[in-house]
Amino acid sequence: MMLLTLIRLEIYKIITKPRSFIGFAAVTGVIFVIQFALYIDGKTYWDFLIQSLKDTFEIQGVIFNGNLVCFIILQMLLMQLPLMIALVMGDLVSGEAATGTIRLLVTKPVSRARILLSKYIAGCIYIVLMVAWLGLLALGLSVLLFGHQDLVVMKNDGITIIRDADLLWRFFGAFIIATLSLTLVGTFSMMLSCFTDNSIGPIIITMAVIILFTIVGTIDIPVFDKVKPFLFTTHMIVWRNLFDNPVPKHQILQSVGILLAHIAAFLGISFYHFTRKDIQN
Amino acid sequence: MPEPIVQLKNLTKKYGTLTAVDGLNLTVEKGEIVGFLGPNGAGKSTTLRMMLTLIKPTTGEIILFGKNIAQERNAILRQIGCIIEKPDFYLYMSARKNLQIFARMSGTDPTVAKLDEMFELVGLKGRDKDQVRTYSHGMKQRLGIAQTLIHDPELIILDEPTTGLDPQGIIDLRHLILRLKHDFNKTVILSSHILNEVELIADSMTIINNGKAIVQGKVSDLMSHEALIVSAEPVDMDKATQIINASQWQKSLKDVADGKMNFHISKNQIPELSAFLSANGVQLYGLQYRRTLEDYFLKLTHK
Repeated sequence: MMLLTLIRLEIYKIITKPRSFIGFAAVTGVIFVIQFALYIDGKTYWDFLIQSLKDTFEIQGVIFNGNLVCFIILQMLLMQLPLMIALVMGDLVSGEAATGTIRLLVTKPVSRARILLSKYIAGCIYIVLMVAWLGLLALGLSVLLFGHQDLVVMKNDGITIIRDADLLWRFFGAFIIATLSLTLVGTFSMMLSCFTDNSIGPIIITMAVIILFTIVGTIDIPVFDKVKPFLFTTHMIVWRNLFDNPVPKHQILQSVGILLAHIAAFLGISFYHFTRKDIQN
Repeated sequence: MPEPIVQLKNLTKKYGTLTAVDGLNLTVEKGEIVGFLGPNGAGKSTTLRMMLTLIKPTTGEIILFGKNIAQERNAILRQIGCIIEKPDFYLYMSARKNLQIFARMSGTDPTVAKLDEMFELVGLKGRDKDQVRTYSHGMKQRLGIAQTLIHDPELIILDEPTTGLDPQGIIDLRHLILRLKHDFNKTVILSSHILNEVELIADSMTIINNGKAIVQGKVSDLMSHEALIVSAEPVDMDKATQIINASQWQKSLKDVADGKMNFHISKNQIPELSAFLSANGVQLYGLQYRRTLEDYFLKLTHK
């Protein structure tokens, strides 16, 4: 059977499930709330953020603009989106096992590898659409509402100012890395989904792992320092480095490589297990 | 002689120390309805799941349509329609969409007319656009049958298809299975733990227990009235025992249990036995008979 037909069927299954729209609704809701709040009271918020810098720098121009709003939204949302992705990807195989349809699928003249691949590709398409929607609202709508100007990025060790003309490719890169990060989370969820017959387990485990890794990666305790480079969550936030000057290309590429390696490993485990497992339910 | 459609050769499935299927051999000829019987946990579903590649056998061979399923899985599965355990569908989709999806996965793109024909056949015409979540178990079972037939398979495997159906549903399904054989020349393997259900429609049957085939043969031979267990319940057991032990019937007496004397005789010997007991003044509370296979199967399923 044509892989394209299988992918189409899987996409149809995703779009007819109400849970698939929870992510889109949540992203839309959160962005609208943030944009509304910043539209009403953004200047006060910004003044609060740069309070400590006011004595040192004189900042001129429309600093509070659509680019900054998009950057704020990305910082807030990109660590929450994995839950939305896990809701769909964690259900890809286990959801079929829970409802019993997996028995029918696997007894059809299509190899298990193809079934899983079509599910995975359909899931990845969902992720790309989710990030595209996020980009459209976070950048497109913000620029429309707040205009566009240079971006001032607050760091622990100071500020970075990036010219408006130099921003679009950075945001584009950030969305690509976000897609890659979410694909990793999705692949991890799908891998867990291959091992269980209910979709709650993969979703909860995915979130638990992300929360644990994020905590370990954020806390500045020396004992965690050796572990941090091995946590995929450390590399999921590498998109922020695109807003450094100069851009640490080597570090970004290294993180992208690590994200891809994780994806390949999780995917390999998923295929190995799913193509060999006994369907008992 | 044409090659059998199904040949299971020394099929074994082990889970650790537990042997679910133990060296099973089975042959099914084209156009037959085969009953696959056994108590719960006997290994019926495991065997069918192995035939459908849901489970990998530990050892043994599965040859379907003359091909080894380990080597030509997709070509074989294209010719099989099945319901395993219960008919599960995407509840949030319509029955028609479900049928379309599973037909496409089976390698066919059914026309509107073909879909209509299937819904007509299984008696779901008019309900095909409803979401499956609104279906009763019986309706899902019928949709399951439509799903097994949509790609016109040679072999149909039904695992406990009457589970959860009401009496009318069971009768409807029985008629439908018989139609599959007579009108569409399909081969059907039907698993069940109810002997009577299989007896009514199957041409041959295999009884398995503890993963082993215990009885195999034509239903007409196995369910013959030639070999019966006849139970006589005398009012005075001591007197009856004395009289039987002193007669030619002593050879046919199988055992005495629960106040009953069980004889292993044929149906036409019953009037003779009854007359003998009566002539010797042995009064009876009752005289009943059941077939030996029935007796044997009851022991299997009630142990």
